[in-house]
Amino acid sequence: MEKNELLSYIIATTAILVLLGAFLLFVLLWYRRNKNQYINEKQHMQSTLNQTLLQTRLEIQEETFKTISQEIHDNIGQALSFVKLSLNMIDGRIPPDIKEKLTESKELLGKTIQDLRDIARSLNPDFISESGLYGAIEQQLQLLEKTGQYKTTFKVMGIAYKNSQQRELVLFRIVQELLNNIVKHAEATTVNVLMNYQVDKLLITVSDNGKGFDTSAVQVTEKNNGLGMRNMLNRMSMIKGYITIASTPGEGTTSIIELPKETDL
Amino acid sequence: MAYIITGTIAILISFIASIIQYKKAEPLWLRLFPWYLGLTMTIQLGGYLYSHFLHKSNYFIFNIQQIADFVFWVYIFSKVYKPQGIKVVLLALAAFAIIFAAYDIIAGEGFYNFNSKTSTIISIILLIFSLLYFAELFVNNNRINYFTIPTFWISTGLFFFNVGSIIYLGLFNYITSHKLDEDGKIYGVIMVTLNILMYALFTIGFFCRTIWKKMSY
Repeated sequence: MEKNELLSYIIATTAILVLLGAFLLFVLLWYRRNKNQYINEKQHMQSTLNQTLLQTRLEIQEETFKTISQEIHDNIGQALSFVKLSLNMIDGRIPPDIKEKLTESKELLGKTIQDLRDIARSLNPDFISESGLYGAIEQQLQLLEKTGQYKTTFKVMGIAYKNSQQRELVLFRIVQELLNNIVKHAEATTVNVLMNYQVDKLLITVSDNGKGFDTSAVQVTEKNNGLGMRNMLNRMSMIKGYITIASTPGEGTTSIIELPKETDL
Repeated sequence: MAYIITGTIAILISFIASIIQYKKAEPLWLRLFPWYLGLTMTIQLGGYLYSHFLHKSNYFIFNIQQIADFVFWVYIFSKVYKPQGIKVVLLALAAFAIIFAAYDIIAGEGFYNFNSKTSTIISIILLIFSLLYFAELFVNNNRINYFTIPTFWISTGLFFFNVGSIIYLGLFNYITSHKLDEDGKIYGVIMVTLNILMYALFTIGFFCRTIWKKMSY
């Protein structure tokens, strides 16, 4: 074999090897591009599915609340009203000690009927569209005040605007959950709610002066939180909002709900 | 002379790039590159000057350099690979190459001749390292953008350099003894082209995170 011919073979083989290497790399990049697209689509589908599941779950929950609300109003409430009516019809010529007991019972019954009505109202999803978010939250705070254990304040800042009914319902349920947590765990005496309508978002701050808790011990993640907390996070993600909970033991808890304006999404 | 200047400029640019990105270097092993490139550049120039002024063979310099170079890449890939199994393969191959290199110097091609067999084995092993890395990327089930990974660019540079040089360096002693490339033109063209390509890819690797971030805005 001639010198030049041999050298040409060496150069040609080198060139072929480099081209093969380039081809291999091209295949790798092409495969990765397709795989990335597939992963994106899968993630998108997964997220859509989760969103749909969550929405369905919340719709079912709201339907259940509505049914319970109607049951309370139409059956239990009616029955108690009938009992109250019957008590009112009892003859006045009864012994004084029994009359006193009867008056107490009527008062207690009246209060129970009123409480049941309030619960039925707050469970009913239509309550939000009737009262609006402001009215609904105010009513929840009034319920707390009525217990005599809490002093509440409610402030609104900025120019109020209306969110869609679904978003307002979700916000209301979260505020309800936060207030419920205060009643159950906080041992607080004052509860403050602030609705701050900003240009691009609505901020709702719920704070109390209760015993607080160590947030580092209870990380706000979907995995290790209680059902209530997980529900709140899920609900917020459904309406594309955020919730931040800040607390220090002995210094109360402040929860901030942030909901971007629908047009900004 | 032109080849050595062009090759040195390619390393120099990469060397400067590695210094510029030193503090931002992520993963941390990228911080070894200024030292590695600086040393490589010094040896390349030193080897050339030694041969040019003393009129002596500089092969022994490159025999030592290729082993040191190989040890550096073994260290880098041991940091890159995650599966323990691959690390074991890497160490086994590295041990084999070093034993073979010692044998080649002592009982094979000798210290003062270019150790082309060692060079071929090292090139094959480095190609395996690069291919194993590509395989790891290939099977990865997460969403990845290769262009943002310094290791990808560096492995690609190393891969092309070894793919392109393996034939010539493997046959180096045969080519020189048969005077196939007497004036060293072919050697110069191949090595300069591969060096430019490799160091350009290294340079992109040092900057890829910054470049891609800017492009994503």
